[in-house]
Amino acid sequence: MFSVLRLTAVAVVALLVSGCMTARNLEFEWQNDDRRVVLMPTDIELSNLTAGGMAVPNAEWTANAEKHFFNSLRDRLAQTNAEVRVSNKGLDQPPTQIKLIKLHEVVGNSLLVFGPGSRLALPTKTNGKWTLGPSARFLKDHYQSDYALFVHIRDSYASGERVAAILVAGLFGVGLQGGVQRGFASLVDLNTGDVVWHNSIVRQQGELRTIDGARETADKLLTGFPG
Amino acid sequence: MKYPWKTLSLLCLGLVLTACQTTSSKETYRSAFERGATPGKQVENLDKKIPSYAIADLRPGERPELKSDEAGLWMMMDRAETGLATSGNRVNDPQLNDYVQKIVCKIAREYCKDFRVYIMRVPNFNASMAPNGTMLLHTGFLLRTKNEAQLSALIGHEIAHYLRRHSSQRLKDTIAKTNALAFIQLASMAAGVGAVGDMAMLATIGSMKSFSRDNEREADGYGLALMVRAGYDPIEAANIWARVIRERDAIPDNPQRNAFLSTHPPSDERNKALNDLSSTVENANELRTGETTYQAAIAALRGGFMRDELAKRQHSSTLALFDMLLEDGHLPGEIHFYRGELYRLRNDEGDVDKALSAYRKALAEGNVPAELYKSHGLTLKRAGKKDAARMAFSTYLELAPHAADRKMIQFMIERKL
Repeated sequence: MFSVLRLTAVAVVALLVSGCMTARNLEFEWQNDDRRVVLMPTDIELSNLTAGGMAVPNAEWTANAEKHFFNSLRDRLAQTNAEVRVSNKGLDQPPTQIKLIKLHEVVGNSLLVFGPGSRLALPTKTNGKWTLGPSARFLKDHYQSDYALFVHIRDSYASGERVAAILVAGLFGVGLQGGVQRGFASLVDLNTGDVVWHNSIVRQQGELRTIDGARETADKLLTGFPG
Repeated sequence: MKYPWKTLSLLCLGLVLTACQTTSSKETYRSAFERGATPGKQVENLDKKIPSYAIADLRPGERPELKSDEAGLWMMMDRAETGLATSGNRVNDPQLNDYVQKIVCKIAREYCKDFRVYIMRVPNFNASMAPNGTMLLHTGFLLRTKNEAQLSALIGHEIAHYLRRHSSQRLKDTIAKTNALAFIQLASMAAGVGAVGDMAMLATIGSMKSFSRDNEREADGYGLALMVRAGYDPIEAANIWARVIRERDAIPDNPQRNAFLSTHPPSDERNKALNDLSSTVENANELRTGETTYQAAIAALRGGFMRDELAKRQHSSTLALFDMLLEDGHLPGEIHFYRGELYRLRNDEGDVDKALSAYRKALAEGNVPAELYKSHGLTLKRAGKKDAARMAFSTYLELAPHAADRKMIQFMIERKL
């Protein structure tokens, strides 16, 4: 089942990367002093790209990346005027929170593929509104917060064999895909569920397996985050 | 011929392609049955008979090592499972969930704690097992099984997938084969014969599907041994497939399944193989089928399963299914009612009469939901029998005074239709 999803995702990524996509923003400034931001569990998955082009998820890398990235994100947010809270994780999450994280993945992917500035931007989508809907209010009450920050990242790394295959194919003028880092972050207003700030990255660099790399990625992803 | 060597290489690949179809399927069922008789025990000569990348059974409570690819699969499924647990499609009825979980434990024994069952409201004959022990069971399966032995055959099959780590085997198989394919494609590109690369791709797909079918055969044989160990009559495992075949054959102009691309072996093969294997089990007829307990466990929810079945609009196979359920003979009034619903909703030539006749049979049997009177009323109205329709509507409102559509039905009674 997930292999079909994966293929589709790879196809979309290939399309985006071939278009040399750069980061895009929904911009936002704090409206008043209500700046309590709850940090949702970061939805990260790292995988290893085989010679044949399969992305095989790697549990060890992912566990490390989750830890490094979460710490980097918290440090980065400490430089802003936001008052940061941390949400429950894993099995301690309330069901509505799990559903909102799943929904954010869908909304964020739509923003990435069809949002403003994309080559596939929807001509009929003119109100510029992207939202998780009113059920986001649950988080406002649950964590006594005004906003929630959602992060979703998928990152793949070419294995040694894949690098060899890329080089050999290159000799014949055929370009094979290497590792890709693809992620987005959204600040959601918990009164309305609307995405008020959003940034995405799709690039062939980035390294989440190390502390320094995680910090660099967090900085990149939070470019333009309200100060 | 201009390029004889090119044709030759295509032919060779063609041969490779057919070779992957010729593994002895009977042997696979049989060997797996023997292995399943003592699950967890490694059997040297069996590993040679069944292609398995030398993967041993999981031990109770075992999690794969964090560095392995298998751990990656578990991680993905752990994530997916948090989503499943909150899925709106999940059947939360505590009694049914307890009942199924108990049977899982009876079959899994010391592995009991490794499995979580999620009953999903999907009207198809299906179930699945994830590498981390997340088991999905569709309500369409529960509607189709006749007894506890049939349910345990399915659970045994799914548990076999887990113990034999088929997801991990398939991942290894896919990585190895797609890597080899990449190499062949590069080489054929270098040699200027791209067509060889294309043939190789076809061969790779065929070979991966063939591996998947062998996994299914292994799970069938292994699962059969597990159900026998738990005290269930193994012939019921074969009977499931007889039921599936009957439904399938009721569909007119059913397209032939693609033997090359199928992930599962054909139902007829599974029916026969399981039949043959059960006949080797001693005193099998003294083992349990557990029909009464099973039917009692699903009775309260079965109507909803049938309602979902109707939404598929696959009338011919659904009618064959209802025939089988009537032959089983549990709560026939309810089955007649949903058969009537099928005719009423289909509304083909002559269906009004068929629906009315089905509702009459349902009423004669008794044990019908209040909803029957509404449907009966609507159908009588369609047949022009206004007085009878009004009476049916009135009975509906008496039996279901708080029905959500009360006002509409009231309106139809008062407006004299």
